[in-house]
Amino acid sequence: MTENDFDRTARLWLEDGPAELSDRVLQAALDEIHVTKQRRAWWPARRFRQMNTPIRIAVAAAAVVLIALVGVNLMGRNGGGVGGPPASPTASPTTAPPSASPTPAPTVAQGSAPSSLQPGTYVAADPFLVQVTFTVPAGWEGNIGGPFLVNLDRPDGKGQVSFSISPALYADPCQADRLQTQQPGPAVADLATALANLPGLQATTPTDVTLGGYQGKQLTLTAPASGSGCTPGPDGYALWQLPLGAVNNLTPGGSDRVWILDVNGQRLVIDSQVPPSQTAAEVQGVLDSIRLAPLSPSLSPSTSAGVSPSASPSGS
Amino acid sequence: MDRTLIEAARSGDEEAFASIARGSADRLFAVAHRILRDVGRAEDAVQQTLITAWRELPDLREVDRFEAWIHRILVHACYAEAKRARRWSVNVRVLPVDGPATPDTTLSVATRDALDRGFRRLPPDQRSVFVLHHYLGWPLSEIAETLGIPLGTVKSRLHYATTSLRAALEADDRIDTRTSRERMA
Repeated sequence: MTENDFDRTARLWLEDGPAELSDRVLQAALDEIHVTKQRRAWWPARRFRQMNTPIRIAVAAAAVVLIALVGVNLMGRNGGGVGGPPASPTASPTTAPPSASPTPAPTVAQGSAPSSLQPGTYVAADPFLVQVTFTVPAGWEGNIGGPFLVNLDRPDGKGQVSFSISPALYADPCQADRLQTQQPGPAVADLATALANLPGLQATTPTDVTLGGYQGKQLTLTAPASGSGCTPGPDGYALWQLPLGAVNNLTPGGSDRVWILDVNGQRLVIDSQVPPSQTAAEVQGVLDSIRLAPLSPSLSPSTSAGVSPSASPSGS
Repeated sequence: MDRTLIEAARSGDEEAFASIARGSADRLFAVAHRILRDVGRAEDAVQQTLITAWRELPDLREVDRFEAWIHRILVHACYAEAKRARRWSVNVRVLPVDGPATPDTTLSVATRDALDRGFRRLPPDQRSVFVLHHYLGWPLSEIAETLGIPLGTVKSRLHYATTSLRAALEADDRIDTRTSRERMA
């Protein structure tokens, strides 16, 4: 084959393929742009801003207050973070969960694309509807995918923790062409029961948990080893879809631990892929570090849209 | 691309950016699909590109460089998508249309399969140069400028990609020939 023959063949081959983006995908991007703030020209482009030293110090004061409040609750109830041993069912009503401190929010994350995270502690909030504090080791990345999703993971797939709000379940995870026509009711138990009953998956019985003062349910979902015959294809089994279109998939043969919590009326789903043994401790560390708080009025998007330019991390 | 739209979007006009996105989306998707060879990943890469472009548009100083600038973002989004272990898909793909938009009857199935297999073995940086050159028809100097890499690197990547794909085609030819002989025998 001559060089010209090869070039011609390559061009024909490349022309052969889809060339139109679906309206649905474009609209999802535009929806996300609607909640993504355009950064000022002199701002560094960072989705998750790791706190630099001055900010870290300033934030630490607020975070200490927040974590101390949550920590008291944790120690008094189950002594662990999200991934810790589940608390035994309690009949006693939970006291009011901790409220967000009136101090300025240590909100350091906004946007949507995954970006690498330096080891450290982060707070994800605006535009996400719950304030989530977490600590990651080296090698993790994350993003806030709008008001309904925060996702943290290792790029190699050996560790993942996500936070979802307002999930709509698929009727059949293996044939993800339609959502359930009758979505679960608004209670934590409604969603837990519906997840446990998803067809084609193995599920543990939902058990009561109390995490950081927030009551909820925990269960584990396991997908069949083979995804052959399923329409999601290589993505695996589709569990739920979020309002802006993000879909959470369960890989064939994989298991997910799922916590469903009521954070001051906001139903939050924490989902963590059961990791391989070599990263189990690392993932558990991330889970243990999680602290939650409802967004207070002072953390509304209009008042907490990132840090001010003068306080933004420099050198990035 | 309309300069006025880009300038308006750069100043925060969301509608202007939506118009730009609608005008660019198909082309970006086509390029992303050629690099990633997967509808879902290509869609994710385009979404990511648009969001990044919106966020960082205030930093674009030369409006005339918008096309190159957004393609650079796209290529980097493809790199990220290629290495990313798939977990969350950012869009719903009910029935992915993965087939050809216009069926090509001039290439045999075997040739297409051989190119597919060979291309999937290429690293993303070689794929992107190959696609920008052979699909978009960009000269190598423009690719170098767009991606911000030396011209020599572009030439090297294209060379390796071409060599690998030619080898894939030739290996496929040998198998075909051998199979034919065995059938004849």
